[in-house]
Amino acid sequence: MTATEQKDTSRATIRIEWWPTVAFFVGLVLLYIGERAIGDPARVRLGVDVAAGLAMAAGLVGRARSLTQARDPNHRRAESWILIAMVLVLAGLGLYFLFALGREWLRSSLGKAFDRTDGVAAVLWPALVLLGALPLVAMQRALSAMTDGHGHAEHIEIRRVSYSAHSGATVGLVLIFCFAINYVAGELNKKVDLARFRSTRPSPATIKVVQNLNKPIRAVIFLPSANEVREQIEPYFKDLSQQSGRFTYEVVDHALSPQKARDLSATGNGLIVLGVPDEKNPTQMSQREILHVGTTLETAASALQTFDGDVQKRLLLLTRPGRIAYFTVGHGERGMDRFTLDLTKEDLRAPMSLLQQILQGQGYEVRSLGVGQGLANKVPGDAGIVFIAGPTERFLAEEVNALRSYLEGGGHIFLMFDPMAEGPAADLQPLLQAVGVKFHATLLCNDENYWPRTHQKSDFANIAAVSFSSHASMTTLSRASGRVALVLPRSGWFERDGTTPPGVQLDFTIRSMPKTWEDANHNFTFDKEEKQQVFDLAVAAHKSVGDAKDKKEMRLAALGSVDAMSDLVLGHRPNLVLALDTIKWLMGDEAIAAEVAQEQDLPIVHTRAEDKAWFYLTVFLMPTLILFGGLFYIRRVRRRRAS
Amino acid sequence: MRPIALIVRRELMAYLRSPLGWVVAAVALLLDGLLFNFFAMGEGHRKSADVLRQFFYFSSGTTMVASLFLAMRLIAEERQTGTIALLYSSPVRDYQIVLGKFLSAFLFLAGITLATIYMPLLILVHGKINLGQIFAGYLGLLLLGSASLSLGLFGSSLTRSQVVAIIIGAALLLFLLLCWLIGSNTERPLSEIFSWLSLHNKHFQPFMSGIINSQDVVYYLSVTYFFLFASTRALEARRWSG
Repeated sequence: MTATEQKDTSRATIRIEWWPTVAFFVGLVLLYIGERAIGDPARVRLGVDVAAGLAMAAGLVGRARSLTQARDPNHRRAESWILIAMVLVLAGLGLYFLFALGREWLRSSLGKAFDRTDGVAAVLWPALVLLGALPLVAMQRALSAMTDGHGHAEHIEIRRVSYSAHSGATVGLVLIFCFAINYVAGELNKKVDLARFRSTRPSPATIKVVQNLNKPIRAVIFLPSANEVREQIEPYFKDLSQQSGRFTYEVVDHALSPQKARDLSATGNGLIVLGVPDEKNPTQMSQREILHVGTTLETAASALQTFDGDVQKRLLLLTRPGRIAYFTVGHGERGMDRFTLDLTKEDLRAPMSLLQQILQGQGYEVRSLGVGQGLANKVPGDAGIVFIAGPTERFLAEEVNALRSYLEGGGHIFLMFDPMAEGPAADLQPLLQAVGVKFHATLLCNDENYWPRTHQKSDFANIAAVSFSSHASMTTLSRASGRVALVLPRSGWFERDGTTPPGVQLDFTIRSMPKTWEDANHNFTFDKEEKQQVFDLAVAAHKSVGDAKDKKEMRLAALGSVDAMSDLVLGHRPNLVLALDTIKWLMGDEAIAAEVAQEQDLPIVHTRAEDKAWFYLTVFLMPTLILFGGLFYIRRVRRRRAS
Repeated sequence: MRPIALIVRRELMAYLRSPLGWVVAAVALLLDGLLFNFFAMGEGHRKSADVLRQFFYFSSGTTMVASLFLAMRLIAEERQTGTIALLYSSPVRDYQIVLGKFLSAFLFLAGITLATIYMPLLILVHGKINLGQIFAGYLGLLLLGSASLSLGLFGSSLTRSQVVAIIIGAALLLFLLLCWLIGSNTERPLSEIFSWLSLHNKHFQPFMSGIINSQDVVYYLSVTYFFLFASTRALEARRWSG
């Protein structure tokens, strides 16, 4: 910016130059482009830098010339202030170039003090540029406002220039303050994660597993300090370690403990190794399971959603190893494929893949058991539990005998009936006779409480149950008796078969709702000859067998609806809980029967008709209400005013 | 405080008694509804967390635009109609004028923003909903709206034309929105500064996912504070800029 005074014949006027300020700022912008936007080629960068230097020098010289030519004292003061502002900017830039170009020289000269000085310079140079540039713009604006529109002013009001400089400087200081506050906030950032569904708190089930540990378990968490995932999962393990002296944990950084990482086969951070400490060398682990979580919240998101279930699964694998679940095959039992509605498939019945996943999650190995695997002879000795999932074809008498022998010898069987298959139900009756129960393979219906699946009359066969006994296999459901409903699509029913055999403890665990009827003619309508009543839908029976040295317990659970455990409804929380608790009871794990904390987000499913309703509600109804409500209000106010 | 409260009341009534406020509210809801249906809900099955994230993403756009429209008239209109002289001559300080006008626009904007709550709640009909994510999302929207309003108010304090005011506000907003781009094309330490300045990319996205970072809250509050301070200075500039 330059200012010259011109003398008129009548009166003196002061010329206020604007171009030096503009040239100075053009130079600043060019310098930014040269230094920051153009990396290569170096020749272009140098050219832009030189052009920037020339523009800034022109601005500085122009302003200095204006100062030397100024006659009016106020004008001289204003010009000198503007020059000082320019020098401040140049000082900032000088500091920047000093540390950018003479970095190595400064490092050797300053020695240990370099890092601190470098940090101060990094803050100081932009602050100087700001504190020079903002008052410069403000003062130029104040001076320009005093001209007649052609760059001439009668006199300079120095207070206005002073005020503008002060204003620009305070804006600059506030900006620096804001940057400083943000820098501190960035360094001391606190994160509150409300994003995930409940996941990283131990569930009652996992707590029970830890409380009932039969051997010591140690968890080694490989995560660095000040890590966001560590913040999420460390409290989880702390909670668990408070439940039992047999459970301990430690957090180590993979980079700082390479030997421990090698011993435990941990390839990096973001891993959790759960294992049984070696008795001779406690730093080693005789058995171990590895859980991958990741080191950032983004990569750990999915692992954290199922974290509790995954930890529980590994704890069970470590403490109850080698458990095998057999599913009988060859009698039209439900398959294990994932549930897809494929009309080209021969078997359209819902499979049992979710039940299989649950078993695997509990540490079971799932195998098939048919004639080929020796079922006609005997049930394999390694069988932890045998599932008979809705057979529709006849069993051989030898197979039934093998199953009954297995059961009476202290085996565990989960029997799920398909009421439409009378033959297999009759074949399996000896298993039920062993505990004094009879199964009726007739369809139950209820036209008041049912699951509307197809909105046809056949939905009456999808009955619900809200009444549960206090049996151990109903641990969780019995607490919510009357408040949660099990869905039992196509169910038959049970009743006592004479007197209960000696030693057998029998419990009817699930009861139907009142007004359920046996739909003998399969018309899904309550007819006069049919009777409405409460039916028993599931039984659980157990009996101690063997001598004092080899004491075992036979356990049998029978369910009138195989579909209640199929993929069709196993996603329904109460059905899932029934499956978990029944399996745990059958295996003698009832002490750890409880729900796993695995609340995951679910896809939103909606129909086309619902889509339309949503569309009209969200797009038109609310905005229209707001607009017309507002216009009506305005009209009322105006009328009131007019009257 | 009393002068500020009086200005807030007066300005809020001005919004409620002029069609502009209601039209802005209705258009914002209409746009939010359309974006919610066509993009956030989308086709096929989406998880509720994804739908919410998309909803907040699109709502942030309408919030920023609505902020500019609400802010453009705040001071420029007073200049345009000449009523600014009344304010100048009244025993009210410049910062009280700026704060009063900002708070009134913010309250109105908060009303519009919170009126969209029925959209995320509709997810409850067929999906799960995470109230924490909704809380974080709306907190983010209000902070973003507050920062955008202060930008618009600054634009309005610089000129007598409402059109020019909204152009200045939009230019500033666009600059802050595109700072991530400048940051990715420049070197340290300026790249870090520009990335930090990024109004949406850096600071709003965690809110969309239900994560509240204290640094993001501080950022929005400091942007709001800075532009309100700058607006006050711009208003005071009459004393030296003529």
